Amino acid sequence: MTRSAINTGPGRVLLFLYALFALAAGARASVQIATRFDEAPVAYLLSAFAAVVYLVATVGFVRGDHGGRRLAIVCLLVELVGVLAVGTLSLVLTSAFPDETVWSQYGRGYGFVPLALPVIGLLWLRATRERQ
Amino acid sequence: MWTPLAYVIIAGAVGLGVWCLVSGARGRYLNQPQYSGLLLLAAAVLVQCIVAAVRLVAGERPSDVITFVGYLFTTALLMPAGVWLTRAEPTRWGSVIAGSASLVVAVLTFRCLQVWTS
Repeated sequence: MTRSAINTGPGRVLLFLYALFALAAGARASVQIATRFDEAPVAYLLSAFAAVVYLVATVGFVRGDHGGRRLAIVCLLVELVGVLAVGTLSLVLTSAFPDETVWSQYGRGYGFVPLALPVIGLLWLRATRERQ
Repeated sequence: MWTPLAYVIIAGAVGLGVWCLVSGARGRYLNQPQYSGLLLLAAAVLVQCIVAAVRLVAGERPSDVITFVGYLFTTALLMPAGVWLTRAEPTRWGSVIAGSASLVVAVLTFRCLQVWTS
């Protein structure tokens, strides 16, 4: 059933973008935590958490099987809630976020891609869902 | 970093990125010039990363060295991953991957340059 393949076609674009965000957020969080953790522990831990979510979602897309799909769905939902919650909190409670995270202001520092990715990803997973 | 090369990379990457995305939008995979351009861009980015790494090791320091290394690391891995996935997806979506990779390289190189010269 080729229709249920989540890691070809548009899915491969998503895979690329997820790997990119895992790498970018991971690299950023690692250096921040290693060098100036005390300045903004909440922001840096959130960045690290986001990086892990992106990484696990990437693994889900690479696997592309039933388990991989479920992994991706869970990650994308966490991501969507994360970007909405952190995005809102970073606007309301500016003092709690002295430094940027991937999800601050709905991912504005990253061209709002962090907000668009989970939405597009979930639509894609829905479009390719396995038929019973 | 080597500033003239950075400008060449940014200009070339934006041009190639838009060109590839247009091909993707028109339902086409990369043509030979586009693919060659992608490889050329990957090579230029690799040279830039090596130059930057050598100058860092030699003692030159941008104001925010940590941020710079983070960007450099991402930039170095981005193009090989983009080329590999583009080859794995010989459809219009391969063009979209190539276009996205090129545009992201342009942004990352610009940010690297900002940090390097600040």
